[in-house]
Amino acid sequence: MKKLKVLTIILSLIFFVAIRILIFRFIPIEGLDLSSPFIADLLGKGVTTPYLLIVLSDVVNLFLIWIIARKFLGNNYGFLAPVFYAISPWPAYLTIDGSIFIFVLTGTLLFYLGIMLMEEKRKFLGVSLASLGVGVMIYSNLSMFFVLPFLILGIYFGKLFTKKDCKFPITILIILMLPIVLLSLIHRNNLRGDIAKNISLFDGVGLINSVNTFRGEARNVGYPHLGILVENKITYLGRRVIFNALTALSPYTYFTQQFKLLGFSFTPPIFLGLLIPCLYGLVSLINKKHGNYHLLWLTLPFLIPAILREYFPDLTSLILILPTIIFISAWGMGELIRNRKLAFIVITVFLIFLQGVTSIYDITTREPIRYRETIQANK
Amino acid sequence: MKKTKLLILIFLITLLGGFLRFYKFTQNPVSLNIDEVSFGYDAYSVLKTARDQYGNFLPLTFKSTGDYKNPVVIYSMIPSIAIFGLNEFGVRFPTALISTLAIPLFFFLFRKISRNESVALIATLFLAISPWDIYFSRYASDTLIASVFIGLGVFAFLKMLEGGKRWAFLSALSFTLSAYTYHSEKLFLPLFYLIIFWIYRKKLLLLKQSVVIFVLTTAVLVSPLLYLTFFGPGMARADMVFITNDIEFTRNVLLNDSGVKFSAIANIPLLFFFWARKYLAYFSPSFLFYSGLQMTTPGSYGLGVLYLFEVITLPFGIYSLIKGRIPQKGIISSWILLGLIPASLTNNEQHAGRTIFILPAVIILSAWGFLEFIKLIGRISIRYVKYSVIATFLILVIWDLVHALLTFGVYFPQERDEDSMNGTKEAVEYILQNQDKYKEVVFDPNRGIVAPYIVNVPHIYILFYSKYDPHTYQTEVKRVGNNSYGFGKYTIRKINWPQDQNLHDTLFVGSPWSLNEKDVGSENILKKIYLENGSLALIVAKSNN
Repeated sequence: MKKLKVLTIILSLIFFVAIRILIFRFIPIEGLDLSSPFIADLLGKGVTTPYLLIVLSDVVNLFLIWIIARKFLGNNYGFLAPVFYAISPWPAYLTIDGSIFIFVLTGTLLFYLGIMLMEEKRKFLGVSLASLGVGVMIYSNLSMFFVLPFLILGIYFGKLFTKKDCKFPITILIILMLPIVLLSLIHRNNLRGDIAKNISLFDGVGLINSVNTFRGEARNVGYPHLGILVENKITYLGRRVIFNALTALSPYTYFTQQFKLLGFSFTPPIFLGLLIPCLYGLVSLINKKHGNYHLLWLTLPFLIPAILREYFPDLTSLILILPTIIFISAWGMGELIRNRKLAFIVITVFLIFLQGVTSIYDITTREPIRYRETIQANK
Repeated sequence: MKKTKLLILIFLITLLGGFLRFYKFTQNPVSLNIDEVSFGYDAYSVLKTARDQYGNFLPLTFKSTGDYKNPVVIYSMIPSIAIFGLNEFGVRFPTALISTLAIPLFFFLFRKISRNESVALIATLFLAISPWDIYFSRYASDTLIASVFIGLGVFAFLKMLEGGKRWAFLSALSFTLSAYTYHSEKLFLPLFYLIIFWIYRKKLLLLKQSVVIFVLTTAVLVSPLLYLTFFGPGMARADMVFITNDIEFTRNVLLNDSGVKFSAIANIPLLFFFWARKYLAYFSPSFLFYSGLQMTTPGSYGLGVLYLFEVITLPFGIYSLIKGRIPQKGIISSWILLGLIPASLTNNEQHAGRTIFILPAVIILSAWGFLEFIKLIGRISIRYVKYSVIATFLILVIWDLVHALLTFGVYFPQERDEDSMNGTKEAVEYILQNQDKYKEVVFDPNRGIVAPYIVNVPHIYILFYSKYDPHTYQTEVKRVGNNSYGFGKYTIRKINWPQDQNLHDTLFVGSPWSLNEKDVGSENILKKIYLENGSLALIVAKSNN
């Protein structure tokens, strides 16, 4: 078992490095998505996130997932979570692309690690890491401001800590947020620009067109008032938000290439084989609650940045939910092994291997062509 | 619940379901589509001559428009056409009737599966108002009739397990009839049999006689179908629609086989993962709750196969299934999961018609979930929270139902009538009234408002609305040429107006793409035919001479 564990880790690390090198080598997306952090936008400085920082964050994420997984899943199966992260194409593509959300992901993982340490009564370290995580999140991307209140509410309603425990972290949080809030008030134009960039849900011609078309048709047949009552901006937006949320919770968003990574790729965000342990893990969590089950609920607010985009799903911002899927999959895989569901394990491993080999082959042959054709089409 | 009260409730639900299926069903959908016209004319031909339009005697597969249709829906239409005539009513009546009668029958199925009368009643109501079921009930729909047979088959199978040899025969008969009704069932049934026989293997070992009756009945009834599928024209349909012909797969995934090395080996796993994507896409919110029925223009929020309020009830049902609270969970799970396989192997995106036979299983989950949801609300102790939840849910339900009514009654006729070839009937009726003045009638099959990408089959509309004598059509010589087809004075081909305008005594029917108004001239235009939304669909024109 130990040899198998070591072999799995080594193979996954080889894949982790190999896929990134191959994407870098064959598909010219390197650094295409380098955007400036929120704080830079606010100050009006045209500073882009250093590419090396994104690449380093990717490696740090692997390490953080390993640490969190050991606490969440125990020593026996904790190694599965970093393995699943290592073999997922999603962070590989976004890292080579230079997406700032890889860095924001580091912030979220630091935050969670901090919360877990605080629960273990390692207050100073926990608060430090959680604060660092919050700092990384809110200084990098505006939409984290919408996530943070929900995280705090979740911690409050989940009764994770006593009021006394919360005083110090809240003080740190206020100190962290103060500069950003002040700068937002001073540089309101820059703030508006960033809001427009991150929250496009209310924009878009599609909204007005749809509402107008349906209303017009209802009016044509003599039901103008009914048309206004049923078809209006509020109901349309409500449906939009529900639709975005549901799509974010659908397996096909993550385990298939339904929504192409970076707009062109046939590689799925997460390999299809992991769907089996993921579903098994979900069922298992429903039937017998895991000790740190509540932390999974706390990850739901990370869907907010993606939900606020008009064109959904935005696989770039949705990467913040990747650790949740990985932890559930790792938990599910552990349960499959514990319950000796050999057939499911074999199918999972076979599918992962098959898709891994196919993806590597595809990246070196057809993906560059798909990328070029997408660029041509967008011109 | 008292039996009388139960029967009254079922009757009222059936009345409601019947109303939603029959009300103006000859006018909405606005036009008979190609399949309906084809079904109708073949049924008429069999009624008159005991042969299909190609002269085949009582066939078990109908060549139709080259897609080899299954026989049950056509034969079921014969009495209706005999009584009501070859028209919209005669064609659509059998499906609407079968769908309405299925409502009370399915109550017993739901009760058998759920072992809960309340769930069964709720499920029956959900079926009566189901947009998925209503949509396909208002067409002549082979998929819907097949789904009724599947439901009856499952019910009879569960009765068979209680010990009843006649139920074995009925179950095998129902299932086999479904395979004679629609194509998806031919792939679904073998897989379904394997699973349910495995799930109930212990019980079945004690019912050997019933199993023998079931197997023998299936073997005898299905053998002609097997022969036709593997040695006859049955495979033609499969070839047409198989996933390897999917344009997205060949163009975007394989990149039209761009000469990459080892592509023949690599394409197989790529095809598998492409199929997996199509399969999982059936669980997408877009298909389930937003636009699965494709009743409005693409990109807008029309109607999914389920109501939006079922976003709440369905997860509760799934949760109950996982927790093992629903009896017969094996049948429900396999019914849904296997039922999506045949449709996912085709070259279209999600197709509501090809998967409708999983509807009863989905409805049970939704109904069970609804009951669980009600129980949960009952457990809320804080009054204002309880009433807020009830009010929000009620508002959502009412809004959803009104939106569905508007979609069916208002948006659908105006936005999707072109898909039903609206305008073709009007054009054909004009031709029939005026054809004596002309030597030839030329009908261009290509049409479309955005571009001429819709391919009509006008000759079948001519046969249908003229009640063309089937014997004459079977025996007369057809003019089959390069991209053209003709019989009698009718020719179906692309119109080339610069040349065609010089023909003598010829009547033309085509879209504005082939009969440009400016080129044709107002003096030659006899009639313009519009869609419900006011777009010009077809032009009837005469030649210059």
